[in-house]
Amino acid sequence: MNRIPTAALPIWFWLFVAYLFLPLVVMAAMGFRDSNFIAFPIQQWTTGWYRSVLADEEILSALWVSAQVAVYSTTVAIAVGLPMSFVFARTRGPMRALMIAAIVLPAFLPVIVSAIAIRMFLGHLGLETGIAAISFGHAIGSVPFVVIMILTRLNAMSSNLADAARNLGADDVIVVTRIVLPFLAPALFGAMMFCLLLSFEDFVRSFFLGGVDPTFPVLLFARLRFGFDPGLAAISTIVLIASTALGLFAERHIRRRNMGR
Amino acid sequence: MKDQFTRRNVTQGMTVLGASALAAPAIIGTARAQSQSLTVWSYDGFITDAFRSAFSEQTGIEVNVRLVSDQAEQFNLMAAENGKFSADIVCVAGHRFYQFVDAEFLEPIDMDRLDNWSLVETQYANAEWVSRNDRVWGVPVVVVSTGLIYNSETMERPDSLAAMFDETNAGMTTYQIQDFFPLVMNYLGYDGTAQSYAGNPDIAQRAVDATRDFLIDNKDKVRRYYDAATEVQQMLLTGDVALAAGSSGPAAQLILEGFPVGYTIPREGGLAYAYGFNIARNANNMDNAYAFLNALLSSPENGAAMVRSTGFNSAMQGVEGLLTDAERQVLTLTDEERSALTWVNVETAAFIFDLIDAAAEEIRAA
Amino acid sequence: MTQILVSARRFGVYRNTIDTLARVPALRVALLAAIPLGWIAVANLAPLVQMVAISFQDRYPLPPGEPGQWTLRHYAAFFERPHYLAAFTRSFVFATLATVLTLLVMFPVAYYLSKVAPRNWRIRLLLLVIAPFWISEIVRSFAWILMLANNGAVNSFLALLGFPGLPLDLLYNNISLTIGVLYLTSLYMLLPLYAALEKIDDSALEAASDLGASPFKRLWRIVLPLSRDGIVGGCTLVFLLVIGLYAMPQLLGGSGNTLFASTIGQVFARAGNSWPLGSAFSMILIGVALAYVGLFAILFRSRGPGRSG
Repeated sequence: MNRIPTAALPIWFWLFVAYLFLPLVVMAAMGFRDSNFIAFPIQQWTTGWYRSVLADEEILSALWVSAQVAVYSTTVAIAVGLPMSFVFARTRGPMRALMIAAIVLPAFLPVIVSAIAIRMFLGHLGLETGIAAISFGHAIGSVPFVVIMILTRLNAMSSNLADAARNLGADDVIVVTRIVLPFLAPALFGAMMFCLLLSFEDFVRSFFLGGVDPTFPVLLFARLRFGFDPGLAAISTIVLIASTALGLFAERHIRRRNMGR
Repeated sequence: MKDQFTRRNVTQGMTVLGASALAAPAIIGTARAQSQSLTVWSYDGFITDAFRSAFSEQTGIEVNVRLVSDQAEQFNLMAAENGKFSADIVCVAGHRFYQFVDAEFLEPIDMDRLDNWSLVETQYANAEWVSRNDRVWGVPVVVVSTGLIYNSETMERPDSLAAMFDETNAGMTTYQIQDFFPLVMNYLGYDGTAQSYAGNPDIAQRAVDATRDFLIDNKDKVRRYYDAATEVQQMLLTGDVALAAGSSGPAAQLILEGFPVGYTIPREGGLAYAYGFNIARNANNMDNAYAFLNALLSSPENGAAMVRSTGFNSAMQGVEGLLTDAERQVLTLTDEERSALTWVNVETAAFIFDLIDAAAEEIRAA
Repeated sequence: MTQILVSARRFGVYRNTIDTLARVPALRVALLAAIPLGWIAVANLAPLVQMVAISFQDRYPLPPGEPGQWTLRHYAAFFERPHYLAAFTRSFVFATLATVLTLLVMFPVAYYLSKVAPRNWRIRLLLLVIAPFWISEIVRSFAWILMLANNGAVNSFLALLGFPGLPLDLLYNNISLTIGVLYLTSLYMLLPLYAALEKIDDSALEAASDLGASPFKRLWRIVLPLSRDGIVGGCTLVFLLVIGLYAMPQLLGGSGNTLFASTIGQVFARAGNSWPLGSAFSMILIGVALAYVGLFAILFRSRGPGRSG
């Protein structure tokens, strides 16, 4: 009786892993197909698509737009989220609950509604769509995560450290830059990586707030609708490997630093 | 259409208010206008990479292309831009062409600035869907017909639009709702151009509602609705659909690649129209737009390249001689098919498009 | 670094500002709070408030000099046209089923990762399933199109094995959409579940086992109640994610899978006076979705297995 579920669990788990990775393996293989169209089976193989997409200016420029947006939105999200966490760490009572509700609100709205609301709001202010608008939209989506990640770490910090520094004559700026920020570093780094990747993979906000220059997911969406070729599989695979590597690197880095303390 | 005027006035009013936020885009706008660039909205394949880079090399003008999927999309984008159009050249000649002219989205072509107009086939250069109010509004580049695209391995050549609603094809068809809608109105005995409904919006609404309900009743025949013309190719290739209402270009491309695909004009008839490039009203880069059109019309080679990348017939003279026999054969329709085609009626009452857009949302949602 | 900050204290203005701030905590909090409050106002609330306002406007933008007219007609339009309601209902039914399915699939996975797998392998295995998390919705959809098309990988593979009745229609219907959505939601469910299950003390399970509790009873009386927060959190996240899906139903869904979020997108893309209608639709979606999730959370808390545990 006890054996059956325990034996079934690993099988179920590995089936799930196969479900996660099989499509990606198929996609990576499709990038090697020597034909203008995507179809099965793959009879002739070529590395041509992998080489040609890396010379495709439209794709490169979309990746560049995505990278810019990721950096801008992350900068804004951290700049807003960090002081916000300090405030939350100090305020108490209903005001705090209200503010937290207001700040995590974007995480609870259907993304399409929040994207369109921002689009209309920018239109009302007379601002144009484009990289700045997308960055703003992504930052709105990222701030709740930044606050939650920093706040978790901040709560783990004992106030003794800061008090001791103050007793030794340090002012607030010194306390923050020399004690609080280093303590928060792993959380900050994690939040940063999370924001970068969140921004890079976002489609809906980029789609509704974008101007002439598409981000990578938006370009891919357009290309998918204009007919496939194995090049799309190739570039998707390259981006997949790059972002997964970045995610895993961040994960390892944070864990090592967390354990070190 | 009145809506567009008022929207523009709103923007002007806001500018007068001097909201400081407005200054930024204005500065950006000028900067963009001064640089040597050109923004073109285009269907996939209309501007080949070879032409684009050769043009940039010769003129120093950088061409930014934004791919669009249909006329409705372009109309809505331009309507949202309130007269400050981001595109210099758009790609709208076709059945909704008058809608764009009447909404004042386009700039009439100054024929003195166009060097090679004579290279456009006379038949198309003088067609009613190029000019309106005695002015020319665009340069036709490709000629399109609409019909049925089918998998020639799994099904017989369909001879009627009825095949789209036949039980045997359940779950195997696809169409673009807005483009197919007027054809179905005709098929059901209504007036797809809505001209006869002018002044009678109630009758038009009833005709649209009845067509909508018919399409909803036949929703089980549809595997998926598509948006961009080339989406049909992928669905046929992956075997997910066997029959599609679509246009000649994507079909011809598949046939030329050797796939088992056929294209036919059903006996109820099909539409023929041209796609071309039009200049947006008050385009930021007006000179560059003319340079682009002149370069495009300078040689039939450009037309032939476009035929190869789109599968559509060219509207330019001398292109046919540059094609291979296989290409000519696929692109040529039989006399019977040709006689079933009607040139699209560009006088279509604009109000019908709003009704169709709303009906399309409901058909998808149902 | 510390040197610079210490020497900066020689300048009176700098020192006085900081010391004043240190003496008056309220001032410090106010200064610190300015950014968050400003951000909440401009980024989170203003767009939403404007959307609410637009949804009650007869038309928007208003012609100059014309007073705005307030109306409920855009909300009424939702109920007058039955086809919109169809997509709306479909969204909620689909999101609910997708949430339940995700929970059923992911609970054993999370349980295996947190309790059953060899201890020193747990983190590595967790990383393995988290890895595909960083791929955009579009790439995932694309990968599944390659798998599920009539000539796709799955059908080709089955044909190779000699299965009869091929090809199976797997793409552009509920099957493909469900498979794709599960791909997207699984990790949003896994992380809260994992966090909750990991906290359960192994000795509690062992004690129950020693006392002769069957695996089912242990699951029902101990594991489920103790992982309640993870379940509620994961389900809430997943449900809201599915309700807002826009791209995936367009790429993987067929003619009968239009969700309400796509309808909203189409309404906004339409030319003419469509902003108020789209805003009203958005408000209806937000209102009902949050009420639905809230109700679920309350019900689960008071009547779920939590009370018995």
